Amino acid sequence: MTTLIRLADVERFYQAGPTRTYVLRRVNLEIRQGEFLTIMGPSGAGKSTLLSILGMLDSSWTGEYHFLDEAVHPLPQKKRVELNKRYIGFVFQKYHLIDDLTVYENLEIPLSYRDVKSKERAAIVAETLDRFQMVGKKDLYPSQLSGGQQQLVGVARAVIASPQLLLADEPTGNLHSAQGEEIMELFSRLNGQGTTIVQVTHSERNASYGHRTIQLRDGWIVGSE
Amino acid sequence: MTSSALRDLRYAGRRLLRSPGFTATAVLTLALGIGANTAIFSLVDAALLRPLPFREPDRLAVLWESQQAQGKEREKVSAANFLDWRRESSVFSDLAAWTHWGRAVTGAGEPEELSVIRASANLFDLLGVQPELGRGFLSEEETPGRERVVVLSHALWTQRFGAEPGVLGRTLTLDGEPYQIVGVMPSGFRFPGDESVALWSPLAFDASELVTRAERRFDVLGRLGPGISLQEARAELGSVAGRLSKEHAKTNAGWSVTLEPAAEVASAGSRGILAMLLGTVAFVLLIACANVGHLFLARAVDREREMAIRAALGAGPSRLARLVLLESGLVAAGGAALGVVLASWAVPAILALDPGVLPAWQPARLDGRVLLFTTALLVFTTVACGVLPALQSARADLRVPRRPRLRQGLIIGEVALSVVLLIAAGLLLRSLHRLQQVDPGFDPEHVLAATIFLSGSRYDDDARQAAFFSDLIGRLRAVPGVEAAGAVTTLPMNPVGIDYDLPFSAGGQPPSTAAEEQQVDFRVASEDYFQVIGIPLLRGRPFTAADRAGTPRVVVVNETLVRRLFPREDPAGRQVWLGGGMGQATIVGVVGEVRHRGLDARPRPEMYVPFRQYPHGGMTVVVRTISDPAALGRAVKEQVYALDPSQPVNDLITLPQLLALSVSPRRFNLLLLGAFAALALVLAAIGVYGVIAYSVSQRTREIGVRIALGAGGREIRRAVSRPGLTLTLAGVLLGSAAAWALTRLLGNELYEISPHDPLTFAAVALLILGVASAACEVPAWRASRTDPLIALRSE
Repeated sequence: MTTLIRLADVERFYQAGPTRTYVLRRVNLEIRQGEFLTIMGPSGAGKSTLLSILGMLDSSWTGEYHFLDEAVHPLPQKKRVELNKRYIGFVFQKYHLIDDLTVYENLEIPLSYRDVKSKERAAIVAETLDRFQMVGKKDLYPSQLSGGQQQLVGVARAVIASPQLLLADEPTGNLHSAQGEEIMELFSRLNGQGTTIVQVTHSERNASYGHRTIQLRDGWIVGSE
Repeated sequence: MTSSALRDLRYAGRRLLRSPGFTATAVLTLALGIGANTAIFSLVDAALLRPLPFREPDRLAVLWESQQAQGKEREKVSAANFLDWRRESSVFSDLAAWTHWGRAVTGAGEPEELSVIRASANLFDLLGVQPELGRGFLSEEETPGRERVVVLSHALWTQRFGAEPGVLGRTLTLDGEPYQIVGVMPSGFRFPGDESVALWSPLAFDASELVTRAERRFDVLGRLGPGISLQEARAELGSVAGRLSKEHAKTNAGWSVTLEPAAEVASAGSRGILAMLLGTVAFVLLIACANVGHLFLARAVDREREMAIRAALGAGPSRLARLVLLESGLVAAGGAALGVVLASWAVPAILALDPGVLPAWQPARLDGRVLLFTTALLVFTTVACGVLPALQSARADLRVPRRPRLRQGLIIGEVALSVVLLIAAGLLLRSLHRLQQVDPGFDPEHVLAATIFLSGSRYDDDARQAAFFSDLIGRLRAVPGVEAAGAVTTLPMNPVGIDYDLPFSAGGQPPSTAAEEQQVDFRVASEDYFQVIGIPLLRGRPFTAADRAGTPRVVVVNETLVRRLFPREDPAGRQVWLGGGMGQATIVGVVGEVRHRGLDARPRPEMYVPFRQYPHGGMTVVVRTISDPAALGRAVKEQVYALDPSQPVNDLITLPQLLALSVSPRRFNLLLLGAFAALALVLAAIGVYGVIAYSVSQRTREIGVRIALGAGGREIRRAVSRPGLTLTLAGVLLGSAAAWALTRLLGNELYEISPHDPLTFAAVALLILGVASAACEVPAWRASRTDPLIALRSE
């Protein structure tokens, strides 16, 4: 498998006056295409921060980051946003659907940011609704869905633009176990179809769906298995 | 006030002090709205609402002569007709005539031309105002030879005589004749609504004024008898006029009387503009209220938790609503207090800019009546700003969904109101611009004018008048820096001078039928006048020095007259007949059209006659200069004083200044409306900004999600700005529709611009959308810089 991501000596800190508080320390990490990687660690270990750096949402870090052999670290933020748009999808613990938009409209958002034409957009959304078996719910608002259904929409929204990399931050954190398993099965299927997945989780059970787990503590990678 | 209400008031005050930014914004916004309304109301109160400052003013009426067939509704009154009305009518307890009478005061220093009113001896009694010092006029002082007494205005008494009580009995020299000072009027007395009047003198009609009823030159004021209605007075005067029209058919046939309440006449010229301004500032206040109401609504949303806790602890809906209303009341009180301060600055500033549009019968002031109005505004703004947030807070239930539509509605409303004001201001601006593009028919650049009314018995005969102006023009030509000099009885656009029309017949003989008689504007001019002010000579010749007394009489006519009376021929050499005792004359030249009565008034048929053949005691001399004409003012005066040291020189003015003055009422209207429209625009922009900024604060998480899903800065800015621009667009559409209906009211204020001028409507729409975009851009830009990590953790 080819390398999708390579981090070298990545560090992230917050400066408060003369004091620097490190969130990540000298992170060296390689993620291969098609891999299902789990990041674990206690709260405050830097898991979500690492995920944000991988997703190019955070630009205040030092070190080297290569994505598909393209050096990300020298790129301006605008270019990073372009990479994010082309290759990356996000799933959040709190779903983060947009309340005022219907299921259909929520799914449409990432496509609209990628300048997909309206007709094509409609076809992709219709196909995604069908694939996630949500056709009947397309006109409902998030508040009219259960937590599991909302997260299903969250996942569908994350994959609708066919990202190569899916980043999931505690994707089942707000779901009961049956709903959680359903989401993890979905991740497994997506991974099986070639999508690289990086998830942050506290759950050993969720971690068992992945190929590899790295442990973070106080910003350091302290183990990989 | 109960102790709980006092406690709530203290609490409301404390809360406001804890949010100084919110409080200052709200107070300042309301102060602008309330201040504008207070200022304009004080003008409205002085001009329209307060009774005229005379005894029983509702019994005062103004009388005119009228000739319906000629469309003459309000003509001045001849002396003989006035005396007949006074003698024969029983409906008036008093009837007085008056006229303006510029007179030179001589003594120490330069001679000064003062504005004098010659009025019937009973004028002060009729008005019910007595002199502060001394006495008014005695009825016997209406007799020629006994009228040499004057009553001073308070201002003249103070300025010229240092408010000396011993001034009574002293002599004032007017036109070289001694007049005894018999009284001083109180300081607030202004008649006829003009602060510049310095003296009143009894009106004793001389023989020349009584000789013909055709010379209508007096204003007439009457006091209706007790219990007499205007209709009864109209009926009786109508029958008197009917009899006079039969007895004096030559001068009175077809003439009747028009009678109007004095209060209406006094305010007629300002009613339109004041109504427009009052409407304008009402819009500004509504916009301010919408802004502050929105701030309170946003605050109410932020306080939902607090209100829910209060409700859970036992506060009823009315108690919760009271809390919010007390806050809005305190803000409104602050706004009203600051608004009164702003108004106290604005009123003198507006009056200083007023070119005479507003009546000056009594001064505008911030008195108890105006403060009562401000208090009413305070109550209105308290309710307007606080009622919706109070209702929202009264329903303190976290499950109740928030109502963004209410806030959106406020924004649409305030944008719509500003659109209406801006369109109105835009139309006035376009109208003024069009007017300024109008060719006045002469070249005003480098021309200086000075008006001279020859005074005293030294100039009683024609030859002396002609000699004075002939000598003066000759002297002025010799002044270094002067290219040419001339004189005319009345300059274009000049409110000072003799401006009247005379009968004219193209046939060379007195008209045998009324249809043959034309009324033609009449001016007396010197030979170089046309050249000096750049009126083009189209045919024939101008006047020459040879056109003097004893030579064949000549006349120069304008193009309008030629088009109307000699459409297919060259009129040069035609014999015409001029009324006013002038007789036959030969047309020797044709000059271009001049907009004498204002840029917006179409040229009328006009004739000019040479001053050497028709000397006139009051003329305006004009000089064309090589450089800045204003710099030659002193030199012009010196030439006049060299001829006659006691002769005052009035109204030294350059022609560009005169032209600017002629449009100054329109400019004044535009300035005020424009200023308030700009204020409305700023307030509406702040409103749009507030809504968008607030929505950004409420949408932090959503913006974070959008960024995480790949939205770039452009997409975020668009997502944030779009709702603001959509609301603005809705406001623009609504406001344009309202303006479509309302701008018709501007009718008379517009010059060659349709009240539905598409360019103005489109420009205002673009301006508002542009300003709204800018107002959205700041919060949108801030939103695009949202750190998605922080945003997503914000819950």
